[in-house]
Amino acid sequence: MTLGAIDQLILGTNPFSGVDHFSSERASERLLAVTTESAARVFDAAVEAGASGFNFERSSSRLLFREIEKRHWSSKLGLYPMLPGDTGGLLRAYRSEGVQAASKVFLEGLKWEAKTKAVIQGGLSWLTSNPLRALRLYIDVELGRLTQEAPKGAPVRAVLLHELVTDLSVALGARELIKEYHEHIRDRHRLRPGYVTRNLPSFVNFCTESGVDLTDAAIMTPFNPLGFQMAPSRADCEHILGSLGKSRIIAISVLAAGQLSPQEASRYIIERKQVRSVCLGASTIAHARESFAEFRRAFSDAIDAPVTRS
Amino acid sequence: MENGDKRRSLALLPDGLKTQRLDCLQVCHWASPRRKRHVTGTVQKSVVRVEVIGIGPMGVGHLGFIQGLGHEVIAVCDREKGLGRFAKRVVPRLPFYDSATEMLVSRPPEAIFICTPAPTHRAIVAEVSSIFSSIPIFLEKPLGISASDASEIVRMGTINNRITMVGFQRRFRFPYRFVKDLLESGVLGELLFYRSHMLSSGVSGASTGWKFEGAGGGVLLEDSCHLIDLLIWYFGEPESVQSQFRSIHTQAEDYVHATFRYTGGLLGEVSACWSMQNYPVGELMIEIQGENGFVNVTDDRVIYSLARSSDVRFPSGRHRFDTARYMSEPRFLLGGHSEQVFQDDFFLNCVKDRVQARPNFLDGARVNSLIDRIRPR
Repeated sequence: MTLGAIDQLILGTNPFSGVDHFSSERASERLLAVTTESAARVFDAAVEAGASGFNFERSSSRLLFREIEKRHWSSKLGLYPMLPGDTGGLLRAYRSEGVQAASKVFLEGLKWEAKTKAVIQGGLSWLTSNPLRALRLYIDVELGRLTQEAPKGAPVRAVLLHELVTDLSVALGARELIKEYHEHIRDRHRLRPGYVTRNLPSFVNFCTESGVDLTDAAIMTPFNPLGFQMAPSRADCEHILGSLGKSRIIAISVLAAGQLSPQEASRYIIERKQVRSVCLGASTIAHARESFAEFRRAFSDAIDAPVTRS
Repeated sequence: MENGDKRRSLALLPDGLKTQRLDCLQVCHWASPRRKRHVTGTVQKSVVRVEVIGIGPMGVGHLGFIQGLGHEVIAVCDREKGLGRFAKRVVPRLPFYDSATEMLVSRPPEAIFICTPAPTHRAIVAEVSSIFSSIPIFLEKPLGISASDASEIVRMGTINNRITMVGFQRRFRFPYRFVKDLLESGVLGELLFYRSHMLSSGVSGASTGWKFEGAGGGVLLEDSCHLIDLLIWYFGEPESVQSQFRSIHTQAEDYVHATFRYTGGLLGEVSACWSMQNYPVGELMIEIQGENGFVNVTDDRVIYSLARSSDVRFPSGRHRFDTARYMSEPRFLLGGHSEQVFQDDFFLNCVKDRVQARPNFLDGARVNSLIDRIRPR
């Protein structure tokens, strides 16, 4: 199986979705102000400044997909979809009305494909009795939907498991769930499995103990000089990098939710030689231009830097 | 101090209870905000064996936090049998029970987390107490659905000096602890008045279920009990309460406005609503005006201004501290909920060290009592 390269510069959609790790007030303001058109303009700026990847949740990105197609970027963009494709909807149902409501949302999502309707007729009872089969079906349906809804011609570079699922599975020791996910993405769909986690050492140790081979897997995880959102510590996360071999690290929270300048962030990332991809969020055109241009420059300089021999 | 250097200090409270405090504030007066992010919590060597009753949204979160912190959840219990089937296949090593009694008797734990809906708390505490009269209990907020309900839970729950805790996790979030220390220092001078609110757009249409009905529901009990707890923590209980409330989308109260008067003259104002149209991300805010200055706090930051100060921890002038800069990561992060992890870490350390935790059942009962005064049930 040949997997495409991971893009160096990936645009994330947190600012468009009201996610802000620094301030909920800022998140609220952005959510109230964002429109498809304003998000597309930020997208323009990011692509012009070097972004070639797009990380997203399917359910909140449909309108943006149309903008991408209108602008003929499909062939330039690598896609990094998150699973679940509608984490927000599942969480809202779960928090307000519990497991049954979330299960209904999950099952409704599966019905998108006619052939699964017969399979899931047992509803909640079927789901709770066959969670691993439900997971495989869910992946199939979500990737099927993505094929229909995502910009035509844009390749999927990695499928990323949401941090809530990844980190909760690690905490609970849900080995079979992670193994099932990993193998189904890799073997059935011939795609690169990926994970989002804010507990990198715990996640890596869990995979080692569970027999999940992270070779070529994409791991999206915070890296910044402040240790922001890096659990249990910056030092532990930096230390574990050495054991990751051929895993593909995609750094997030590199600006520590705006506490760092792009220059400070890029300096740190360049020193971490195993990190050669970053996923950045941007809420304004200026922010997109500055951040992506800086990292493009930094990665380019790192490649061009002369090799010194002692 | 670096992240790896974890400290704990013990503060003897006036009432003689020995309680652990989190040292998250020392950074404020000496740290460069970007370079030194002080750590909270403790290094622990021993593992607490825990059981969780209720594996809905809060229960699953606690499961993750407890395991992520290195402790052991030895069994879980929920009335919903479907969850048991699910758990057996996804987490086969974790025993599942649909009866709390059966679970507790067959696998005695060292501590219990009760994460069920508030209307069930009294019955479950009674069930647990009938088997273990002194096992430490963590109970998700609110303690009960009324003052009398809470009072009964306190009676059952505090026999034999049991270690108890209620899930008012905002006490473990940096800016609110900062304000507590600021108030205790007295630098604000005489407190004149405060205003506060907890607002969100969480309930935007007709809603049914126990959270939205009559006695056991409403914005105060379900949502703004966090704010009420903070206000009691800061100011104690008011001498008099006046309030207005209304239903908008539910059968319970969706909007509340109350004013408080305290012994000594302090006045306070509270607004709570979960049906706002312009708060897609909720907001909790408290602003306190004193003779010598003011402080304004939200989840994200604390801003204070003092005309003069001789306390090196709180210099005069205007200052701002953002949570993201000063609140360090816990040993395990799940969904970015640092304060909940610190909360569980704190409780489990209290269990190991056999010291009382705060906020405990008595603190929870005070919240129920004040809520009943605002919105009689």
